[in-house]
Amino acid sequence: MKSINTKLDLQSISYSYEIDDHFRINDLSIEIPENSITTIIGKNGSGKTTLLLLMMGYLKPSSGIIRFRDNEKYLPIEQTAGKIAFLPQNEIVSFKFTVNDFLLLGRIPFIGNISQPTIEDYLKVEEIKKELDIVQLGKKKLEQISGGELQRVRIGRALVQEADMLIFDEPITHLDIGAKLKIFHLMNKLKEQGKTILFSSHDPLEAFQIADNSILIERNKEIIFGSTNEVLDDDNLSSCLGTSIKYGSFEGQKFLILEK
Amino acid sequence: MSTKLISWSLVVLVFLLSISLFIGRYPFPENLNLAFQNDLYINLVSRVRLPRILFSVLVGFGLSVSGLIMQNIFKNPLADPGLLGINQAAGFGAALGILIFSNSFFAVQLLAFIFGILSMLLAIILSKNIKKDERLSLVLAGISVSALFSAGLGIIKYIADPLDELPSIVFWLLGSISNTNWDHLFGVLPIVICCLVILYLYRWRINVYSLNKEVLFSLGIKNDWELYLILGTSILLTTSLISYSGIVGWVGLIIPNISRILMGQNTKNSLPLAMIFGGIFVLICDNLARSLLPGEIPLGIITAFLGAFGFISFLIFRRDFL
Repeated sequence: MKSINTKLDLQSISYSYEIDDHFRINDLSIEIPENSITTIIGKNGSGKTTLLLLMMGYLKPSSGIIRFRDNEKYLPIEQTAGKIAFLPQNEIVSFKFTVNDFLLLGRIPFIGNISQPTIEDYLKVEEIKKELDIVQLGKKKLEQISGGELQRVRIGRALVQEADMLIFDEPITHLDIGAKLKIFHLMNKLKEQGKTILFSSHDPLEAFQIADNSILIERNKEIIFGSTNEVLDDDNLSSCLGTSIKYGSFEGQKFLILEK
Repeated sequence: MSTKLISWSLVVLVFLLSISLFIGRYPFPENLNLAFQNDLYINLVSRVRLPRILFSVLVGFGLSVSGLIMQNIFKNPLADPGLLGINQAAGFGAALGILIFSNSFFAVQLLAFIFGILSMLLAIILSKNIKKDERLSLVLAGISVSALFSAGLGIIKYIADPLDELPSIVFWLLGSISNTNWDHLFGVLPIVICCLVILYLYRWRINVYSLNKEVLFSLGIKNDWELYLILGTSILLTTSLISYSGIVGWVGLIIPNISRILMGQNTKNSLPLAMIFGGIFVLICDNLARSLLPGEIPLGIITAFLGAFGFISFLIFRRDFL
C-alpha cells in the first residue's frame, strides 16, 4: 500500500488569545494527511475559526511548530506564501465586482505588484469557471447571484490561486440543501484531483457526508482528531455539543436523534 | 468598450481645456488676429488662465484618484480623500499661517501641507495603538484626528481678527485656485505627477485591498507596507493639492462613484476614468467659478453644489449607485 504523506503537520501547538485569556489550545498535535477532507466540528464559539487561522499560519502559536508539505519537502508554515487558500466565513467583498474580476483576484500570487493580469491569468479564470460550471455567471455582479453561486465563485477564487490546500470556514452553513450537495460534490472532485481540504462546521452530519477525518473541538477541552466515524461517536458528540445525541441510520446515511 | 470610453473622455478633456482658455471676464477680442496683437490678452491667457486651468485639472485628477483609493481600501463608497482628517488638519495649518504670517501665501501653503502630513502620521500612529482591525482602526483614528484639528481650527477662527484674518480663513476653507500662477503650478507639479504615476501603476493592485486581511494573507500578502504606500501616496497627493487650493469638497466622493457605475468595480478601468472625469469636473467648476458672476466664486462652493446635485440625482435615478 502506498504510504500517505502528511500535508499539514501540527507539532505540540499551544495558543491563547491575548484579548481573551479564557480561550486556550494546549499542546495540540495533528497530522492532516495529503489528499483528504477534514472537518472541524464544534459549537459556535468553540474556537473553530481560531484553529483554522492557526493552521493557515495567520495566527502564530505561542509554542510548537506547524510544517507544510510542498514539493516533497516540509516547510515551516511561515514560508508558504500563497500555498494555502482560505475562505473566511463572513467575507465582506464589494458586491459591485463582476464574477470575472473577482476570480482574477485569486491570481495575486502570480501577478507582480505593479503589473497587470496577463493572458495566462485570464485563461486560468476561464478554465476554473468551466470546471465549476459558473461560466454563465462571468459578467454578472456578485450582488446579482445567489448565495450558493457566490460560494462556488469564492471557491473558484481559491482554485484560481492554484493552492493545493484549501481551508474553508463554514462554507455550507447558510446554504440550502441543493447548494450544499453541489459544494460537497465539488469538494469530492477537488479531493480526487489531489487537493487537501479542511473545513469547519457545526453540523456533524456534514462531516459524515464527506469527511475522511474530523477534529472535534470543545472550548478549552482536549481536541480530538481521528477518522470521522471514530471521533464523532455518540459519546464524544454528546459531551461536545452539550446535548444527548444518538445516531440513526437509514439506507446507509446517518441522521441525528435528539433526546427531548 | 472601456478603452473607448477612456479615450473619448480624454478627447472631451482636451477640448474643454482649449475652450476654457477663452472663457473669462476679459472679453475675447473681435477676431483672432486682434487677439494675437493684444499683448494684454495674450498675457492674460498665458500667465493667468493657462496655469489656473491646468491646475484645476490637476486638482480634479488628484482628488478623484485619491477618493477612489480611499473608497476601495476602506470598502466604503462614501469615503473621500479627507477620511483620515487631512482636510481639517490642512485647514488648521492654513488658518495658523494666516494668523501668524499675516497672509503670506507661501507660509499658508507650507503650514497647510505640514499639518496635512502631520495628521496622516498622527492617524497612523494612533491606529497602531487601537486593538481592532487595522483599517477600522485607521478610520477611527482619522475621525479623532479630524475632530482634534477641527477644534483647533475653531479656536483660531474665534481669536482671529474678524475684519481681516477671519475672511481669509473662511475663503481658504471654501477652496479657490484664483491665485494660481506658473510658480505655484511648478511648485506642486513634481510631487503630484510622482504620486499620480505611482497610483496609476498600482491601478489593478488596488483591487486587492477590497479583500479581507486573512484572505490577503492566504494570497501571500503578509505585510502592510504596500497598503501604507498606496494610502500614504494618495494622502500626500491630496495634501499637496489642497494646501494650494483650499478644501475642494465632493470631487473625491462623487467622481469615483460615477466612474464605478460606468466602468465597474475593477480599479484597473475605473481609476483612469475617475482621473479624467475628475479633471473635467473641476475644470468646468472652475470655469464657472471665474466667469459666472462679476466677482470670483470660491471653487469649493461650486464643486459642493454640483456634487450634491449630482449625488441627489444619482440616488434617485440610478439603482446601481453606491
